[in-house]
Amino acid sequence: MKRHDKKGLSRRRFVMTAAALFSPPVSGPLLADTFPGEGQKMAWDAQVAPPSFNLETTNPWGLHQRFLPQRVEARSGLVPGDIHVDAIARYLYHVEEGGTAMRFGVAIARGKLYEPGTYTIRRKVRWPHWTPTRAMIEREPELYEEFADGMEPGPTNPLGSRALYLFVGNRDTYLRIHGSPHPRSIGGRASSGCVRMVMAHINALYPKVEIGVTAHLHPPDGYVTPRS
Amino acid sequence: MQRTFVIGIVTTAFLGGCSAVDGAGGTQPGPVPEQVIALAAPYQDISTARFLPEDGCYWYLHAGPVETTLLPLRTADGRPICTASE
Repeated sequence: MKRHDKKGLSRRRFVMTAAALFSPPVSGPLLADTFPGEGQKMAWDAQVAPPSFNLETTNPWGLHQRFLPQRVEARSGLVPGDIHVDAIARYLYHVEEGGTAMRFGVAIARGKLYEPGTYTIRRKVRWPHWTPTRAMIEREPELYEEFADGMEPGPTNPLGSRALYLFVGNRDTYLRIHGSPHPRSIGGRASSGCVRMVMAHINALYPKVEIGVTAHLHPPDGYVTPRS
Repeated sequence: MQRTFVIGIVTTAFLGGCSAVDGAGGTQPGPVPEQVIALAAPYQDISTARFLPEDGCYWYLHAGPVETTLLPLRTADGRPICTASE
């Protein structure tokens, strides 16, 4: 039996509690080493999708209506396929052909852990593993040390159902856009650096995001930038 | 009827029941009380602020990277600015 299975539900609950406060950049190497098959992934997908799920209206999570996905008119000059995270509004936009964008509500990182910048999505994973970074373990060993070897995928994994991995050049930043087992955190500042989405929402976004596109993480409120 | 400005606890009660206020439409900007201006965090364009009776809160036009859209007007510590009738 794997180490993660021994403690069962109580451990998963602990992880969920920790992740509610400190959701996750990811580091390697991963020692959590089970890889779910296609059947398991599909079963989890069904588990995290509400009954009769409609992307733009279903809201069992009690989100403010403005955080539900919707198609909006986009400014001209944006590159179709790119992602923009508006940290002030707490929206993620996926730019489409034809001058529109799909908008989703997100949660961003706490305080200075949010890192505005321009990134490339070089990897994406369905039902990813999660491992806290070394910095997270050093900062809060009581929360993260026992997960240093990684956590198996699943609906309670802090990365949730999907993860888009943000790189600068060939360097993995450990920042991710990912699903979250804590949908009620959407609209707030909750994570340790990542951008969180409702799992059912990122499941809809994921197949439309191509490897190599740019993700723009725009500055949050209070961030000093020159204005023309 | 007297209007008072409420932030924090009462504001959270509005959040679940707000109607749609997305987009740049909605009410036009109007006079905003000095108390609201004083409460609002400085990064927001107060000249576009307006009161939305649907949720009893103040909103402003945010010129984001992809669209211009209404967002809740917030205090420096991030709480929406709403009113309560007495």
